[in-house]
Amino acid sequence: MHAEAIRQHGADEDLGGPVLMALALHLGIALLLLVAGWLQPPPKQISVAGPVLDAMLVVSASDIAAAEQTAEAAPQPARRAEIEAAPPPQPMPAPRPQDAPREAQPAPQAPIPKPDTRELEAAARLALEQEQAREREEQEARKRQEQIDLTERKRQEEVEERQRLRRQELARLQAERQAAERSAKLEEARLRQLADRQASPAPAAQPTQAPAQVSGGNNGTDTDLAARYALAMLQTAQNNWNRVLAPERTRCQVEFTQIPGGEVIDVAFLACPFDAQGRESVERALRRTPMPYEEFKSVFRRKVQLTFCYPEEACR
Amino acid sequence: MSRILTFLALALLLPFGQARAQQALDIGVVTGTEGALPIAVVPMPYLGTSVAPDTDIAAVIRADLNRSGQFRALAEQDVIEKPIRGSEIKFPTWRVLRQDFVVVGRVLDNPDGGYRVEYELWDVAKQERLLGLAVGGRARGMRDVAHQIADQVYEKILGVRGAFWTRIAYVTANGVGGNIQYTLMIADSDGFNPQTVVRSPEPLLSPAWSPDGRRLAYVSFERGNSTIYIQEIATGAREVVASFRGINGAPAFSPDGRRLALTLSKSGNPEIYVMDLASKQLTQVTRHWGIDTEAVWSADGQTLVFTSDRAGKPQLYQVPAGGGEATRLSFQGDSNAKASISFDGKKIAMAQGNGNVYRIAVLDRSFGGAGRWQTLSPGNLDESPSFAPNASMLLYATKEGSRGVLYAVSADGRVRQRLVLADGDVREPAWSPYRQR
Repeated sequence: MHAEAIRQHGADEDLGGPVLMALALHLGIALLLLVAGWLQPPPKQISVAGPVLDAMLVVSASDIAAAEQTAEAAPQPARRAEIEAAPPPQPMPAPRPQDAPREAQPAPQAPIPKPDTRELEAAARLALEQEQAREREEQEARKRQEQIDLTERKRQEEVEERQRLRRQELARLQAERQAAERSAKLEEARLRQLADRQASPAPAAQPTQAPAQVSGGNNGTDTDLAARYALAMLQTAQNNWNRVLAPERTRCQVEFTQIPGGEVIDVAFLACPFDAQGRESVERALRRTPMPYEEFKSVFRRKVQLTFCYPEEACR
Repeated sequence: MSRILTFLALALLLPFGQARAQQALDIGVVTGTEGALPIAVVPMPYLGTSVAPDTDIAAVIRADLNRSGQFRALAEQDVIEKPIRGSEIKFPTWRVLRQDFVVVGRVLDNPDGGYRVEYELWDVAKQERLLGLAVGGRARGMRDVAHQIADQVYEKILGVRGAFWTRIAYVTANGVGGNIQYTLMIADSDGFNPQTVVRSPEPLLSPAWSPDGRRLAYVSFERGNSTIYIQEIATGAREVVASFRGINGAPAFSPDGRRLALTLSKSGNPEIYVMDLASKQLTQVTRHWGIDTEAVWSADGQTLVFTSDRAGKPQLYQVPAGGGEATRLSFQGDSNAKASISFDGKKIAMAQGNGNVYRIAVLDRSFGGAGRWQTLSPGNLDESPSFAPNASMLLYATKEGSRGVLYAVSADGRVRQRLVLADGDVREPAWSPYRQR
């Protein structure tokens, strides 16, 4: 419906009106351009105060003569060469097919006799390379042999080392056995002495039953060694205890039993509020590696107590 | 006669003297060190008569235990002996390798089809068997079998149930411009076996697991406005639970699965509501002019922790689930948002902003007082933390270039690992509860 109204409206219009209006617009623009030219402002004139000065140029006859002389002496400009007109364009020559007849070679040229240095060079190079390769191989073989020798030597050394260690171990064991025999004899002697004393009327005598390792020897030295022994055991437990499974600020007191050699065979929890996982972590820490033994045989203790707790400041 | 009596008396006294001499030596306090527990998982060969399974069971167990941060599994190339039974274990070897535990096993054919993995867990120090079990599974489910073994080993050693046999939900966005496709996915806890839950050309947001792990609540814009759906994972059936005027967002199931906390702005301002899922009845929990959103439930279901900008910047607040006065929880960092609470309620993880850097921070309230803060991620745009059901690990989203990726980090922050997921922009992770055994 809207489209029909638009079409009807277009048909009723006369074309005369718009044409007249267009003409009027063009005339108007032309007039505006003319008027714009007239309406340009006049050029600005310089105005200076004061009267106008009159001056006269006086030229004497001698001046004229001098000027003429100078004019004659002045170099004359060269006559300008007449410029020739450009030649009319020449037609381009028509391209012709190139024809370069070459005479066939009557006979093949005989090869120029030339010494074949290339082959010789190649042969020399090959020989050199072969030589180098041989040297390399020899070197490698030497190295391999050296390596084999070295490995063999190492192996032998290892074997010797093992044998040496075994001998040492054997010697140690023998020494231990002898020491044990000695101490057994000593104990027997002591027991005999004890029995003799018991037989005698002096009842005040105390049995000296404590192990020789603990009670015997120099007190000062033993005390120092004992302290180092305690520290070494503490450090072993310290390195082995992973506390992530244990609660903070809780003291777990344990007593472990070890055998000569440092292996822990039993862990008893004396006062330990840790849960099963915490207790497992403590037991694992004590059994993970043997406690120090070799250096501390003389101060060896079967039963040792220690407390697991962290952080340190909360456990003092 | 008197000599005999004296001898007997001395013999009786002798043990006392010995006892004194052998009295235990007290060497003091051991404070120990902290570190992951060393464990060796020996490759488990297939001894059946059919085709060997695709999954390397030992490798999956090893990766699981390593990812937890609690264990340091011996690398496969360092496993120099390969026993498959406890009787074949040479303990001195594992002692030299300084391993606390050894897991050995083998894969056999299951008489009912599929495979059966027989495995043993041994304590190296005590040379004692801690576990000896068999787990069966279908050929396609051997990763599940491996995750279950890792869970059992984890629980036996640490006393806490493992969370490797769980799943994660996340949203991916693929494509550019008007062709972006949003997908809600679920995958194994290590990112393997991804499956599509729902796909939409309109944004999908805020996936939340039901406590039984069978349903997911999420926000979708596929109807034009935001709408909260609950969808059964197994069947794909879903229902609209909230489609009010304005914002419908941030759903969270209560621990008993009967209620849903959500954010609605039907009153004109985003507030926290609790919906009874049976009756769909709503209870308004917060009434404040500030924006209140992202509510999560405490472990006992009595309180809600939510994000609010009522103090000017986003911070975490706590409010009784039935409504009441909110109290502020977070006082560290410029802003704190998107809380995730551990199963025991002791730890709250959040995305903490300081300037333009956003990291995952954990507030540990185990020791009372103002709690202890720990930052778990390096930044700069880390967001959406989600605790594993045993709180041993956290999942969070971050940006690598312009792409979103997921990371799993151990609760102590020691181990951080990017999850292997499908391509695309990954965001909004949510760790599932334990799976039903």
